[in-house]
Amino acid sequence: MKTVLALAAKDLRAESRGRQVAPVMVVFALCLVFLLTFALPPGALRAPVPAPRAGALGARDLSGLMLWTTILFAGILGFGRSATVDREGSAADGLLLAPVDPAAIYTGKMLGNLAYLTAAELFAIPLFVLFANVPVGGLLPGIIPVALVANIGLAAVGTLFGAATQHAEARSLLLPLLTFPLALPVVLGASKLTSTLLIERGFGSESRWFILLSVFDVVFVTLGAVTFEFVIEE
Amino acid sequence: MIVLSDVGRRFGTLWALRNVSLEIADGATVALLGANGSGKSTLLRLMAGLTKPTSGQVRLDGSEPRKCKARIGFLGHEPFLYRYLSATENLRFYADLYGVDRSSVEPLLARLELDSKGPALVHTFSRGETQRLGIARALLHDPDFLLLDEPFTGLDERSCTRLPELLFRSGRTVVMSTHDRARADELATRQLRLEGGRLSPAEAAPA
Repeated sequence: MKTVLALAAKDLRAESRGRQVAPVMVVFALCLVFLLTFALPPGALRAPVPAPRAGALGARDLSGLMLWTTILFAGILGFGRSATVDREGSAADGLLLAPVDPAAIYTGKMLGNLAYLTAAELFAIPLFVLFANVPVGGLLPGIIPVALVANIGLAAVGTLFGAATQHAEARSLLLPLLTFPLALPVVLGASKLTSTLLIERGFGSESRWFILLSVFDVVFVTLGAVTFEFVIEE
Repeated sequence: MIVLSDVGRRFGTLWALRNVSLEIADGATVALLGANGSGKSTLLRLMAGLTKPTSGQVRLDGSEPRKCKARIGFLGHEPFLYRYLSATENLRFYADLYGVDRSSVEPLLARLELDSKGPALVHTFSRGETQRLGIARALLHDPDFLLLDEPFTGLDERSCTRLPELLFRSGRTVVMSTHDRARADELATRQLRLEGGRLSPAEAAPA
């Protein structure tokens, strides 16, 4: 555990000086939130919830997807940069040389990425609330557990593929190509839960998505920890 | 003892090393000589466990390099340091990874004449200072096997003169690659030459 914390602290300390990851994610997330919420009709998320019509999608249904697509895109940018920090000066080789369990390296890196995602959300979600004119009472506090389970899943996948693509020539292309398909269940689940929060002011019957997200987290954190050794070695 | 048995390493279709068999006794200092691209760095990375052999095996005191990481110190072409951490923070981080007491960091920086640079971020360092800090990182856990890829690169004359007293200690096996034949003659108990990925004993230096 000490090693995991040392690794995460190292990433966060280096980031606090170099500012190579979080600002990129925050700025990108803010731009995307602004653009996407621009498409919503004014006051759409404050209007009374209309009666469901077959096949019809309301602004509330779409708003969750807008938010989590933004976070996914911002996350992918951040995961790539985060892995680059270890590539510079071949510091990743220094980690490989050390008598440390690769699972600890993975977990430490994942905690760092989790912090970057949370930082991006701390800016993106309030801006989403502001620009989309979202009733804050509907979103809080339910969005907190949603973000928690979704962030773990996104960071688990992003950390694994961020490291896996670091030695590839086309890493900036490969990282999104590999991460997007695997992150889809997270984005779908978190979107559904966020939209349900806005429609029903609670999770209601959709709380089953929490189970899916939690299972995803357990599977990918375990997979990342087990396979990281093979992913990072030459 | 470092033992390489019929080791080969291929990158794509190119064999960087072929049929390398070698025994290095405990406490020996071996200089690896050879032209650029002759396989010196690959050989050192194989000994450190950073690269897996395509064929053959590498053993350090009978174990795979990956099983005795705590006993290996390695200095590569790159310093393996974080640019946005200070010299002290970098070494403290590695001290945590190796389970070394953090209090050993400052004396080590002083031995490498980097004590005044402890709080400075690594990206502000000169080439020579970065190299010295990389050497400090490799020495931090007092390794039994010290593998150095051109350790004198970028160092000024004073640092070059002082370096040997830091590197060598009783019982430590040192393998270093160098292009400097005079320094190899001065420091090494054994010299080996790599040519086209094959190993041979180096001839004696001309008088």
